[in-house]
Amino acid sequence: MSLTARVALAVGSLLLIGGVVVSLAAFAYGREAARETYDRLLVGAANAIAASITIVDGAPVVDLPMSAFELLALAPDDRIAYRVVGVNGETLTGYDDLALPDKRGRGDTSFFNASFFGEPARYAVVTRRFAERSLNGTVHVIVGQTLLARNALALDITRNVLFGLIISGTLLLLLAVLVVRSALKPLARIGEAFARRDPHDLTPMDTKVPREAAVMIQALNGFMARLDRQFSSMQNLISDTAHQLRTPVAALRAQADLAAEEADEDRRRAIVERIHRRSVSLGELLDQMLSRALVLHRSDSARREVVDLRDVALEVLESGDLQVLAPETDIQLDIGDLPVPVLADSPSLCEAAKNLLTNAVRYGRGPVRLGVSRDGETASLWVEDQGEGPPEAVQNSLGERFVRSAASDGKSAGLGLSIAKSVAEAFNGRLAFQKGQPSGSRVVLVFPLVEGVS
Amino acid sequence: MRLLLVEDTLDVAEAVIIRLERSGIACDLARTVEEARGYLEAQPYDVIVLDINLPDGLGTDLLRDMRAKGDRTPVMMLTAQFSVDDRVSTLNLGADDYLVKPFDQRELEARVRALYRREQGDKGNEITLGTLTFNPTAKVLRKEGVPVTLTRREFSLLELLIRNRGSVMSKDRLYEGLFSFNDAEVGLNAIELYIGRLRKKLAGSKVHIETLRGLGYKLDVDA
Repeated sequence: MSLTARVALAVGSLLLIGGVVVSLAAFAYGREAARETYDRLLVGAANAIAASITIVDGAPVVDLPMSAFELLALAPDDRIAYRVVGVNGETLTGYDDLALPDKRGRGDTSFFNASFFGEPARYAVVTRRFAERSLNGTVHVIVGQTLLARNALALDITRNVLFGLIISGTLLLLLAVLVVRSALKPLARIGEAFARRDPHDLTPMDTKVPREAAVMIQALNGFMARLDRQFSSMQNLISDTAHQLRTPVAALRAQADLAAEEADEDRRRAIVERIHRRSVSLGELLDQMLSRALVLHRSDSARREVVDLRDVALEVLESGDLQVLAPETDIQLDIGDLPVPVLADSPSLCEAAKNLLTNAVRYGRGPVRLGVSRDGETASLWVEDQGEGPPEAVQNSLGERFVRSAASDGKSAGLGLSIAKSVAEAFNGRLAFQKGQPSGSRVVLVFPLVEGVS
Repeated sequence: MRLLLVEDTLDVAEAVIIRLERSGIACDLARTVEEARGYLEAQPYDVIVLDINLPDGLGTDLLRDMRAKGDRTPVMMLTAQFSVDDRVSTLNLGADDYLVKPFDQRELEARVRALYRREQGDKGNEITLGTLTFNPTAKVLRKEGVPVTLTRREFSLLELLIRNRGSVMSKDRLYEGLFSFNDAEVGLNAIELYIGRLRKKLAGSKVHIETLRGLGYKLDVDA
C-alpha cells in the first residue's frame, strides 16, 4: 500500500469514528434544542389559556384566546389538544380524556410525556391559583402536542451538523493526501537522482534532505562505500594479478623455449628442473593472491564473531598443508589453558596465520613455534623461528599494495606478510615484528582481547 | 587398481596418467561427463578422479547421480575453486576427498592410494555407534554413510575415546595418544580444543563427548 493510501486510510478511519461520535452528540443536542423550542410554545399556549380564565359568579370561565392556537400552529402537522381542569378536578373545557400528569409538578409550569390517542406526545401543565372569596384553589391548564415537528427539527439539526462534518472531513482528507504527497516529494527526488546516476558513480549522495530521509541516504551511502571498496579491491586484484603473473609466466615460457632448443641432455634436465621449480612457486603465488582477495573480501563482508585464537592456531596446524610443504620441520604449538577471545572472522585469521607459518617454515630456521598468548588487554597469535626474520626492506614495504620482488624472484614472503597485515588491520589489530623468546625472531598478530567472554 | 580420470585439460590428464600408470595403476581417461558415464556403465572402477568443470556439464552432477544410484565408488574431486565453502559443499555431495589445482603429483597418487585402501579396508573391524561407522584400519569415519574429514590427530583421539567408550579418559591419557606424531608438538592444552573440534564434527550423530571437570572426557552413545 502506498504511503498516501496509508495516511488517507488512517485519517479516514479517524474521521469516521469521530463522525459517529459527533453525530450522536449532534442528535442528542438536536433533540434537546427541539424539545426546548417546542416546550416554550406549549407553555406559551398554556399560559395564554390560563391568563384567559376569569371568575364569573364564583366559577372559573375559560375564554379560549385564538393567539394560543396560533402559537401552536407553528407546527402545522401536529395534532394539539387541551384540557382545563378546575379546582375540584372537573374538566372545565377541552378533551375529557386527555392524559393527566402522574404527579403534580412543583412549580407553576411542568411537562410530561404521554400518549395522545396512540401517538407519543408532549404535554405542558400550567397552574393558576385563585384566592378569592368566591373561589379558592388551583386551576390546571394542560396543553399537548404530538412530536412530529420536534422530531423533524431534531433531525434537521443533526443533518446540518452531519453535512458540515462530511464537507470538513473530505477537505481534511484531501489536505492529508496533499500533505503526504508534498512530504514524500524528497523521496521521489532522491529516486530520480539515483536513476540519473552513472552506474560507476559510487560517491556519497547529498544528505541535505529531510531528517527522516537522511537515515536512508546514510545507509545507502554506507552501502555504496562498501561496494566501492570491494570494487576497487577487485580492480587492485586484477591489476596485481596481471603484474605478478606476467613475470613468472614469461620466465616459464623463456625456459621452455630454451629447453626445446637445447641439445645437451644434462643442461636440458637442469632447465626442466628450473621450469618445475618456477611452476610450483607460480602455483603458490596464485594461492596467496587468491587468499589475499578472499581475506579482503571477507574482512569487509563477513560477520564478526568471537573467535578463540587457540582454535585458529590449531586449525592452521591441522590444515595439513604443512606436512606436504615441509615434513621435516618441527613445529611446536604453544597455547595456554585459557581461551583467547577476539572479535574477528575465523577463516581470515586462519589465512593470515597460515601465511605467517608458511613463511617461517619456508624461509626461517627451525624449530618453528606457533603460539597464542594473552597479555592484559591484548591477544596475540605469533609465529617464531630461529632465523633472522623478514629482511628490513620487506618489513618496511608491507604497506604497499604488492611487493614487486615477489614476482621476479618467485618468492612471496612479502605477499604473505601483507595478507597478514591487512587481516590484522581489518579486525582492529596490527602486525608486529619482535625478538623471539629466548632467541630467534617472531611475527605477531596483535588484537584487542574481548572482555567478559569466557 | 583401476582408475577413471575425468578431466578435460589434456596435458594435465596426460601427465597424471603417465605418472599413475608408471606406478602400476591402470587408468582410463574420460574428457566429458558423457564419456565418463559410458565408461562407468562398461565396467566398475576402484577410484574415480573427477574434475568439476567439464565441457558438457559439472563433475558434481555426475557425482550426485552416482550417489543417487547407490554407487559408492570412492571419488576424489579436483577443484580449481578456492573458497572454503566450495570445498565443504563438494564433500557434502558425497565426494571422499578433494584436491585443489594446481596439485602435487605425488600427493595425488598418495591420496588415491589412501582412498583405495580405505575401500579395501577390513569391514570386520568396523565399529558402528548410532549413525556413525568407524573403521580404524581404513582410517575412515562415516556419519550416515558420508565420510567425515578428520585430521590424523583427531582420528587418533577419537579412536582412543571410542575404544574406551563409556569410561573416563584423563587429559594425560589422551595426550599420550598424540605422541606418535613427531612433526609437531601440540601441548596438553590443545586436548580441550581437539575435543571441541571433534564435538563439532560429531554433531548430529548420537555420539557425544562429555567433559568431566578435573577428570577428563568420556564418549557415550545415546540409546
